[in-house]
Amino acid sequence: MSLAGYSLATLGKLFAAAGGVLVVLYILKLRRRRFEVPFSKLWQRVLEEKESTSLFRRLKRLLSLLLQLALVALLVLALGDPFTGDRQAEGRHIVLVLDTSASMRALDLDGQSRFVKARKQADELLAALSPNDAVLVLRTDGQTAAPSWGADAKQVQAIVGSMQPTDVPADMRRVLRAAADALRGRKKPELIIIGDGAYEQDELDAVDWGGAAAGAVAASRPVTEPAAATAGVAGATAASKPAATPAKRLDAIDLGGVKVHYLAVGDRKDNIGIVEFNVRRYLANKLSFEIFLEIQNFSDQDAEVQVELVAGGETIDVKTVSVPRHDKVRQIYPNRSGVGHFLEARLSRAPAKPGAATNVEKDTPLDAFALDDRAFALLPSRAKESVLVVTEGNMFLEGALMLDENIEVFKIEPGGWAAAAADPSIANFAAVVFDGYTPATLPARGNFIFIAPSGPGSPFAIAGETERPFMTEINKSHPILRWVTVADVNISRSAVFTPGPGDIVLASNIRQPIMMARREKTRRLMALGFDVRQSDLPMRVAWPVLLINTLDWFAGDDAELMTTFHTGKLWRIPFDTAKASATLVEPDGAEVHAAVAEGRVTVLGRRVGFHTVKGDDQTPVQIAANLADPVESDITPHGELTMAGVKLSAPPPASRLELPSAIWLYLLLAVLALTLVEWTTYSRRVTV
Amino acid sequence: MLARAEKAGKRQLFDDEFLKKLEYLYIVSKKVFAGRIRAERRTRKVGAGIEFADHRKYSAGDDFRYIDWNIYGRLDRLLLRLFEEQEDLHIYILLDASVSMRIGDPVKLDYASKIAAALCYIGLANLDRVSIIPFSAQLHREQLPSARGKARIFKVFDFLSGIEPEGQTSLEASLKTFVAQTKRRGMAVVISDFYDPKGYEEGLNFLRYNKFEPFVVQIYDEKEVNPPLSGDLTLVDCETGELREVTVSARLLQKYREAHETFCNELDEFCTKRAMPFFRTHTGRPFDELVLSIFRAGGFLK
Repeated sequence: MSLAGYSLATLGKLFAAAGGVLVVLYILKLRRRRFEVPFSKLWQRVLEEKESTSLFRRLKRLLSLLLQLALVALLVLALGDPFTGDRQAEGRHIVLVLDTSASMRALDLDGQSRFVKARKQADELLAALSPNDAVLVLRTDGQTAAPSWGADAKQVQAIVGSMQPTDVPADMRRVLRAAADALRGRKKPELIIIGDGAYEQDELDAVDWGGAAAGAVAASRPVTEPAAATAGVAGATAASKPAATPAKRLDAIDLGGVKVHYLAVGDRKDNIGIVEFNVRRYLANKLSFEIFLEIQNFSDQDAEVQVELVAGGETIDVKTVSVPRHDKVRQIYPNRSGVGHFLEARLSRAPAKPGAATNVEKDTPLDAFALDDRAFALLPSRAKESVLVVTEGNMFLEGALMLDENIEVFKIEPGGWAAAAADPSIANFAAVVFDGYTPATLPARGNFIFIAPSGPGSPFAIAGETERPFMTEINKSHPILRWVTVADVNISRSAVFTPGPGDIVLASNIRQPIMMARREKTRRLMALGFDVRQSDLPMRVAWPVLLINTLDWFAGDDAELMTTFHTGKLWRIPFDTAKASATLVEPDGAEVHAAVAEGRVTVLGRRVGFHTVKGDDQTPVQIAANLADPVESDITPHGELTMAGVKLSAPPPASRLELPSAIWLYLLLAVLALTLVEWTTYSRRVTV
Repeated sequence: MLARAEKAGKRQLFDDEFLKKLEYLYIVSKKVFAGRIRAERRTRKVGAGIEFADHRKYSAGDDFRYIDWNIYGRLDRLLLRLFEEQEDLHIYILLDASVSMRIGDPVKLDYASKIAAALCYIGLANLDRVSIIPFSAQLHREQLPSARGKARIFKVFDFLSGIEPEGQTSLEASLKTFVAQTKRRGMAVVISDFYDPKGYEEGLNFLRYNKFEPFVVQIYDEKEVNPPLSGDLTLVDCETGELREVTVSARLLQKYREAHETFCNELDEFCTKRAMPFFRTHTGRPFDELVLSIFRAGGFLK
């Protein structure tokens, strides 16, 4: 037996001091109550008889003293916190992963959600833990539910009790990595996963059981291969490893030496959900758009569902769609226009066919998992744009702009620019195009296109001029050059720019930039180094597309396909602000502060629905977010979980019922028992 | 009477109600011994009376007039005729006024005083001579001299109310002094708890040996038999001041009760064997009940 508390020497001193005080107190006579009697001789007679047994009485007194010394000894020993050799004072280190993914919102046959059941299981597990065990609770998005390891079961239970399921899919790779990091170097490491097992298998297979340490792990649970189970610890480990992975993966998660257990929850698997929902404007007519919807049936039966499209609060389409079992159905809604920006797709139970018998009520939920029965999309606002063209006359330019019916073109002579620039209404133009004219100064705000700029007023420094250039290096990833082919454009001559800090080179003629763009805090600029009339560019389809792309880039609409965001992913939302942070308002009104970098708000998406990004100096931006994760929508519960070839088992029942190993507790119980004996014998006058 | 006692700072023991009870007891005593003639209670003293009592042998110097010549004629023996001497009966109430008598609820001394008053009243009413002698280690200086006639009862009340308990009990010393100081023999009623460390035997025997008619009344309090004690205590003897440490348990209390019972039985046996009327009572018993039992037992009323 060893001591985890005070040392033996300290305990000896403590016992000597306490025992000494006890003996002194025992020797000191009690201050007795005085009682007046009329005839003490009678008492003398009685006591004389009693004193004949005084030896026995002295012995009883001694027994009482010994009893009290035993009490002190037990208390002092309890301070030492003794423990036996086979039961170490250090408890287990348990990482408890409670599945908070979206699929845990699914309702089971008894009407309870899977998460409620999982939480109950976690609660029971925590209640049965030894006082020496330390627990860290993780959610399936890899975030810790508590800042540190908790040894107080009640406290950890309270943390688990406050947890709620989220709208995000499980990210097991991140969870397992976090668990591996937390358990590294800890004694008696254990990992317990409580969930429905709706996880990506390749994420689970990222686990590496390690070398020799894996033996202990595999020994704690049965393995998949029966032959391996009988082949001993090392054999079981080797057999359980996937044969196809001879080399260690670089991104492997090291769980060597960690006991991993899995507690399954969930019993329903009927689910039909929207796995994709997007909307995009047509390139030619940005006032119209088309909607894309994908529905997947995860159940074992074919189903008919009613799909309802709602835009701006009004239903714009309702149809019944048949979805075969374990299959997908795609729906496209073309040429939609003239409705609000907020689009929502809803799945519901298809109305019964006339004459068909049904025992299902109308308002009955479609399936066990309601979260993916709704999807959201947002159409970026689009209004007619005004463009001011400062030119002496350029049909190619004006004609190309007029091709887009959403663009209203205004034209002035270069001589009138000074007056126009002084007019505050200049800020209302989406862009100003300087065609062969370069003003000395530019307004502080606005978007400007320069065609063949010249002189010192050029926004991009002109290094010289080149004859018959070709666009040899083209920045195709830039939105301005999307869907544009300019590699074979013939140009008579062009100015060559010198790129400055922050300048974007869009196209160059053998490292001589001839097309540039720049993004400033309050301005955006684009410049062509050549007069389009001295090239065949206006003869090409690329020319109007280039102009429209530029105008879109100015407007911040650099993605023609405005995809909805997916929960559980890192969202990078375009948001022009001078501030370093912005606020994301979630559908339920909760606010999340997020950092802004390079014109984008970066935040981890948590909720399904419409979100708003707010900043102090910027018009709010709205986005839509969906679960859109077929793995998460497949709510089929997994009673068994295989992790890197090893089947996980439930925590052994013995560990749940393990008695507290703290000996000091039993010592205190012994003290209590002895006190009761002393009290009983004293009150019955046995030891007095 | 109460007002007078209050003025004197004495105990208030006797009121009109008490007096009524005494009168009732007197009537009862008359019924018990109906037909007896007043003032004819006699002592056992043999002397110059009229009524024949006994014979004894003649010895030189005896008065020839009392020789029974008829006997001499028939038996040829000289025997002297003895006559009961008629005189007033003396009743001495010896009242224990030691410190141990102040214990009890009601206080033993108060209870004893009531018994003494009742017996006095009966005696006075029968025209006997009654005196009260308090004692503890010795006879108290304050004594009620011999009195006669019912009218003296108030003096008795007054005297009894003024007795203060003091000193240890010493029956032997007190009764020896009493015998030495009292020439006229008579009934000696000893009212006490008999808690005498030296014992009661010598004192009572001394009364007997000196031709007194001892009449023993033992008084105790219920709490003396069943003391409300438990735990570790220091017992203090109220008379001697002697200290005794004791841890009282239920078993010890039982032994004490047995010891007390033995003590009382020993006193009872001692008196019975010596033909001394003995009465034991606790203070919870109505005093008139005890007085009636004394009457019924006989001896006090002749």
